[in-house]
Amino acid sequence: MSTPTPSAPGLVAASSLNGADTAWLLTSTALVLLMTLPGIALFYGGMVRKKSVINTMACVVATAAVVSVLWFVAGYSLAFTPGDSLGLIGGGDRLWFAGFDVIKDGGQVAVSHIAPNVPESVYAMFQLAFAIITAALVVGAFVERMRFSAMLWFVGLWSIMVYAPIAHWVWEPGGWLAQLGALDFAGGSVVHINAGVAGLVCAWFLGFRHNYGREPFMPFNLGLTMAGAGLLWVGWFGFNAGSAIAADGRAGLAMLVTHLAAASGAISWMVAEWVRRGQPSLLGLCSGVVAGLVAITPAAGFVTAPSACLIGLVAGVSCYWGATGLKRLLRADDSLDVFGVHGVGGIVGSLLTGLLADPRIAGVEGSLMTQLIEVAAVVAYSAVMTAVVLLVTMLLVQLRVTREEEEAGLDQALHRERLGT
Amino acid sequence: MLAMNTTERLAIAAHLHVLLRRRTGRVTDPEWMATNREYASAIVRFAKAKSIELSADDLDLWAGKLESAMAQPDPRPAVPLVQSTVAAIRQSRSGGAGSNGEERELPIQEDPSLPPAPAPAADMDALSPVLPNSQFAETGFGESVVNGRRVDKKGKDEPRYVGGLR
Repeated sequence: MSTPTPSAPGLVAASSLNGADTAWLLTSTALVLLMTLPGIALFYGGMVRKKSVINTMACVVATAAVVSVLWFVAGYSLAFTPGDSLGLIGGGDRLWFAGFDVIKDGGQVAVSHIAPNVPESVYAMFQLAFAIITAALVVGAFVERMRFSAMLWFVGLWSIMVYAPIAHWVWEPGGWLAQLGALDFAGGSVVHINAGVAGLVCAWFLGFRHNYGREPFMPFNLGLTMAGAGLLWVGWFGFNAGSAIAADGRAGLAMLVTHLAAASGAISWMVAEWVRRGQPSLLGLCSGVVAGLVAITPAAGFVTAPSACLIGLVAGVSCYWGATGLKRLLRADDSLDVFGVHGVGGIVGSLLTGLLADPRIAGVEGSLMTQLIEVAAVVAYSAVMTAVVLLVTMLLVQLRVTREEEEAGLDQALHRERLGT
Repeated sequence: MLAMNTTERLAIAAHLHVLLRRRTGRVTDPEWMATNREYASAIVRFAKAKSIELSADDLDLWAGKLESAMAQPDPRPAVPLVQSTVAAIRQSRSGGAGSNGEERELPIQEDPSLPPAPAPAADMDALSPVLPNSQFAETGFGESVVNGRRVDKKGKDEPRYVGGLR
């Protein structure tokens, strides 16, 4: 008699767990966390002006801390447990750190119904790493002008009110987008479109930095940015291949297509920039890598290697336009082009997943219409709820630093710290 | 590869940029300073005024160095071998002079069927050593070449990091 598939988290015999899958998921968790700490910290820190590098990095570290605690208080339960019948939000089975049990005498371990082959503690940690990096990505849109206390309130509220519901819709089997058949292997919509749109809304709310468009804002150290990009590239193997939740052929293919898309994205961004500006740049190469990685994220477990190259090539050019021409059209000071790279890349990748998903790989057929619905729903919800979160934050604290603080630099103004001479 | 003169200009501009930043808080664009004469002149005037106000002799010294560097004529841009060979062949066919071996300008023969090239920017000569042919292809992607005369690319002269990082 076959064991029925669990529909909720619960206890299983420890012997039923898969050691290889668990080991790979543990490794992937570390890789994804490395993408934030120090990947995003370096990537962003190298791009801002010298007077705000420390603040930028502090925002990333603080985001990781705040989201981590809130994840186990409420975020994980709201995202990854069965909830309402409409599939909009999860339940309370895992609120306040409940249920991550390892019972030695009984030989039982708690598992999630979504990943019954690995301990739930490992699965929850893996998903936490995604929640952290999503919130950390948004930071790039409002650097150099947001008050630190406001940032803390914002990321905390945002991770619960925006990230958790969207993750539930897409990744919890009862979520309404999952029920609709939307394909998002590792977070094209949950992470990248969500972060990109939220970043854009933040940029609109906060307004332009002083002297934006009149004075060059010299990046502090593009070597740091490159180091961060390298960590992102390698860490993304955990991001995508780890989302297979198994150490198997699908994970291997996900790693392969991730790498190809990154390389293709770098090349196509480089060519686009070479055409437009006459010279390639390190920042362009790094940005192209990230663009390719973002775009392959929803597709990593569904497409073939040639499709991955195509996705990367399209993403490189699209995101270059997103960070240049589209940015001017949108009239927002998205400081580090979060929408241009992550938002546009996520949208491109999600739509191409609908076109290029190969049913032989994962047994599911892609649908462009379904992907469109998914993209539209995530864009709309993220935009509206991010605005709500910002309004709530504005009621609690002042959102933006003063002009004097901004000119002095947030390192000195908010932290009284400075980089070496 | 940048001409040595331009490298020196960039080094002087960078030094002046650091001095201005430390002494006056003024942020400048050293790349633009090294290639654009109008901008460089404005910065020189500013630095000299500040050197008097703050009694900072080093500001005056480096402003003077930049002024001298920018006053020097720009080196001739390097012409790719293929392009110079094609030009030489055309000249020999047309029976042009040049037997004394001196380097000559590329012949500009306007093709009436092609749209006229836009007038080059005033500081095009200053820019050309810094922004050479891309070398990616013979003429460069997106580059409109009319009988050996390069037309300015869109966005090529935009200063970096103004209104966006990319």
